[in-house]
Amino acid sequence: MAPTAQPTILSPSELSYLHTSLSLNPPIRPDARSPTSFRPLVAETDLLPSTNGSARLCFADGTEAIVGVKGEVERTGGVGKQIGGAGGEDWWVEVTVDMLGQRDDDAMVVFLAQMIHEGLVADGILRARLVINRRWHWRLYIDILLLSPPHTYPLPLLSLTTHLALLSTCLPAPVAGLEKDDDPLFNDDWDAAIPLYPSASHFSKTKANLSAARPPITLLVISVGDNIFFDPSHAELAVADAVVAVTVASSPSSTDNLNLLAVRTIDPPSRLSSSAAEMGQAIEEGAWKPKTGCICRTVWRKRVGMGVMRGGVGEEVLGGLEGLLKKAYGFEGLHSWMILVYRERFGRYQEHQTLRISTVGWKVTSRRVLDMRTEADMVVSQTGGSYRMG
Amino acid sequence: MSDRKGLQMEFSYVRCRVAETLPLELAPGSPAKRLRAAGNSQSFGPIPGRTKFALQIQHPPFLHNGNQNNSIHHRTTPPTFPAHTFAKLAPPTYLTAHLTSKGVPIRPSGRSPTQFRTPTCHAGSLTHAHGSAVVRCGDTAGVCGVRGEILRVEDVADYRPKMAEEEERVDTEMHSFQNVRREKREDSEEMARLGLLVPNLELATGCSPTHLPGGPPSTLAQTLSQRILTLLHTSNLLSVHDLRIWFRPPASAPICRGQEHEVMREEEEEIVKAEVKAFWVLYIDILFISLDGNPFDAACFALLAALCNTRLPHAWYDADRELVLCSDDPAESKQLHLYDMPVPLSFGVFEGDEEAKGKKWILADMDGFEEGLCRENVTIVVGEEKRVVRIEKDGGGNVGGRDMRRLVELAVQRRREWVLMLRDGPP
Amino acid sequence: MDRRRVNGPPGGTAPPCYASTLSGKTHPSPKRTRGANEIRKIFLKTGLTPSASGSAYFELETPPTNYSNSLTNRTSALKLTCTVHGPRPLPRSAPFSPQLLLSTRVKFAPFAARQRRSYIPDSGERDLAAHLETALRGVLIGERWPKSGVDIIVTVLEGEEDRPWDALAAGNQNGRTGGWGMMSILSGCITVASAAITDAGIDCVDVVIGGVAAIVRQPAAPPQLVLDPCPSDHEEVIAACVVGYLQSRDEVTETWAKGNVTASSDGKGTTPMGFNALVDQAVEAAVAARRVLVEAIRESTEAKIQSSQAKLPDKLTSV
Repeated sequence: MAPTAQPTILSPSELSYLHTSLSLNPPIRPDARSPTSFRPLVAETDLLPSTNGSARLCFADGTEAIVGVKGEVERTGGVGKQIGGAGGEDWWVEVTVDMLGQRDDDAMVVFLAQMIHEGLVADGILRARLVINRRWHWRLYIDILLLSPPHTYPLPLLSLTTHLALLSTCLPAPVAGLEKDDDPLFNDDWDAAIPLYPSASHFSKTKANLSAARPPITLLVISVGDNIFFDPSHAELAVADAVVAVTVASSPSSTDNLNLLAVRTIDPPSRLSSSAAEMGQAIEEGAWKPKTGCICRTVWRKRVGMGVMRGGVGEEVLGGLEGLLKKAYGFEGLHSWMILVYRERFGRYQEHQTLRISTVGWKVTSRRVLDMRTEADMVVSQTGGSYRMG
Repeated sequence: MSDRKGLQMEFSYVRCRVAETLPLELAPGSPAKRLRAAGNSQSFGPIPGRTKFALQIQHPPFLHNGNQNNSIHHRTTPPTFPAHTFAKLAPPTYLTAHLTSKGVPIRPSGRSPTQFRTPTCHAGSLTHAHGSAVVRCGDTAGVCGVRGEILRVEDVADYRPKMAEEEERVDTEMHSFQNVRREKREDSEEMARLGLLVPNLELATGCSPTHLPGGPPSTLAQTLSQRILTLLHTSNLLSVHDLRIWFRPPASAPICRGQEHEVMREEEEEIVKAEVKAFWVLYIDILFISLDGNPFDAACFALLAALCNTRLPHAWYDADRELVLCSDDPAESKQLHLYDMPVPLSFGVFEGDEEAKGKKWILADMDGFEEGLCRENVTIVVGEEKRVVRIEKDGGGNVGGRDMRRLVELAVQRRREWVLMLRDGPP
Repeated sequence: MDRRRVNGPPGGTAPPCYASTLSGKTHPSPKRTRGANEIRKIFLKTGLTPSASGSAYFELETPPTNYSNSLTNRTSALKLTCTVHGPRPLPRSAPFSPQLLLSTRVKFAPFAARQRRSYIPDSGERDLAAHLETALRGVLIGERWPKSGVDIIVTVLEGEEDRPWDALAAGNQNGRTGGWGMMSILSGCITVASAAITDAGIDCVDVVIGGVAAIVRQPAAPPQLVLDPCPSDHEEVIAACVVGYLQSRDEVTETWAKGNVTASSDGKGTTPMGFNALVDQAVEAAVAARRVLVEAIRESTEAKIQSSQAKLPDKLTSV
């Protein structure tokens, strides 16, 4: 499966130039980003009124996705089975990806849907939330719509949009006094609806539990030479030695550790590009040649200078990931953006300072902000409900 | 029939030239003699790969890199081919040469024309099926899995309940020949109406280069599935009696026909009536792993072997739960009863190459190479007591009444072998 | 409804429901009898489909079933066949490709699992095919076959189950996550496809072998790292990882990990139950399986050499 819809249009010399500059120490990315920084993006939540939760996300390169989440009540168990599992079932969450010009059984679409689904159900938190009682459960339909043609490999975009949409998802609250096996009745007051991923403030005002449960995110990491890059652009993908999709979530126990939910290698598109020799150019040192073989464990090891059996590819990617994600996911990038979302929804404007130190530009608008009653949210809406950071 | 697509492509050009413009110029004499003279007749035996031929071809101009005068030189030292190359260059001639060889005619596979491949079978190897078999006939191999599922009568659109009395009538009434026949016909009609037997045959497993997955089932696969379905419904192989799941209320369990119970029975008739609550539906899936001719016979063998191996769990209707329940004790499961053993035998009629006008050879159980050369096909299915269950024939009129009689005899002979193998396991 | 196949009754049918599973009378579930770093015996044979360019059959040993005599407790063993067709020329209409185009398909037989599977491909099968393609693409030396394609088809005759039957019906799967059986299947797919590709004589940089490792937990026991897990043997699988590994180059073409593991070391080294340990153990499993693969390839190559030597004089005879 080719990760990109169109094959690369770069010439072998361009590819070679890119590859060299990305292999340098420190590396030089075409858009002068640091290896860990993300491209700016614009996000919006709760834009589809008929869904339980929705989000729109737009990367700076013009790729854009909309995700809608809908919940339906379904009877648990099939023929001869009246009792459902306490932990929920994987298939209660259904992910479909819709892409321009791609059939719904296309390898790429299937792969993306599967990857996102895999991440969502891996930790079992979401599945468990869908249980209403022993005989009924929620069925969650997550419809992902990629609005733009897939210039870059769209997995991070779709994953982040899904993440946002799930954060904004609320399911109607069951009427109080529901017995264990009763048919469920729901409160029609939308304000009483329970968020699928309640923030700490929803139940208690303690800040410690903030990261208790959040939907996982999937990031794309590439390696070129000895370097690792996050959020690769189309050109960078074209020269990647290896591409790995990593799904992470914060572990429920502590806020520092990240839990790894899924890792999978993706076939790098560089394998399909033609080498310099085929284009009739002289073969010399440094000429572009697609890499045969795969991620070499020794390459990784060389970089860390570690012993024989220690430090496979995973450690290397994740060793980098951990440090980088702590930065990105923890306080600078994604986390701050998530905090912003939380803040807008639940009036936690204390994180305003965190936002300011963000290295990436974010713009978040929320329509629900206007419905909120707290003073903090009034502040938000007074400033127009939209921010643009440094 | 080529093993590799690449080779086929390579030879297609030469073959077309040979056929269109340049008849093969062989050494003088009859085709077979010529070939034997050229090759080594000693190795004209049952080992297919070792057969040797030398084929003298008048070289077409396009093969020369020099001028025309070279052709004389080429004619003096003709190129020789290994047997498999000859088979690809001129398939009909190759087969004719084999069949017209000295003494007994022999096929490239080393079999005599009416000799069929002896199948081997390994039953019961699949865990999730109620019955299964892996069979191999020469280079054709397949897996058959039989799985029983439960169809409740509520799910049948226009179900006409059959009462226990009707069931008993079979026992009480005289077993006249007509009655039995009518019962059997009604049984298979009911089975077909309810759709209790669901055979499907899958070729798209890459079992041959012409059957790759992706897309709908091929015409061949569809035809074979339908032929097997028809065979199941017309051959009295299975009976609907064994597929019914009854509800017998506890009170009626000892159905006595003693006089003292006569009055009791009439009173309780409304309550104690046993009724059919569900049916077993048999999903029969046949997957081909490798295909080298004659998929129908192999599929039938796999089907019969898997059905012989099928044990359905003991099932009953639980009135309290309104469910059909099964027992997980293997000792309570019941072997599926087969009432007949319909055994097919497929033939092809080979008419020889251009020089063998008017001749014909009947080839039993063709392999893939022979299938490509035969237009006329016959399939005979025989059942118990030499009954002919089914005859299918198409593609020509070379097989006469006498031939047909002989073929039926052959099919009967094969049935004997198969039944021994299926009933007693491999020798 | 697929009109091109024979369909079952339109009302639908249900698989048998066993009384014992409803009454809560559970049989003792199977237990792993192997050591933690011991893989199941593998049977591998090439050349099963003579009409294909290359083919192979893969089977894992069936675990002994002496614990209880019940229809619900039969454990399955992985059984796979693989055929390779090609390399062959692309159709004339196809655009130019400088490399060998690889197309992989994975299909479950209807009787491969406890629930009857449909003939129409589902997303799980396509996902497995995508994984398999990633694993194989890095191994094939594609530029030696420009303008050609190769089809690799794996048929799963029998898959692995995620959990014992009792747990499935009684609903006591405490927070179990599903799909672990797919990991073993992928590992088998990689190995069997590798054998079939070698049988077809397509140039590769090395043979790629699949290996699986998992972190499992038994009730009242600490988590344990095991090679080649059989999901139904364990109370809970916390995480599992499949690799496609090239031993002679020490490279990994495919990594697929699922579950909940702590991301990594904290800079001091590998944590015993961390992701790295998992990958390393999966590589160990692959190394152990490699011996079987190499042996199968050696056998088939020897057979081929013998038959080609027997044929050799043919080409030398002339009139």
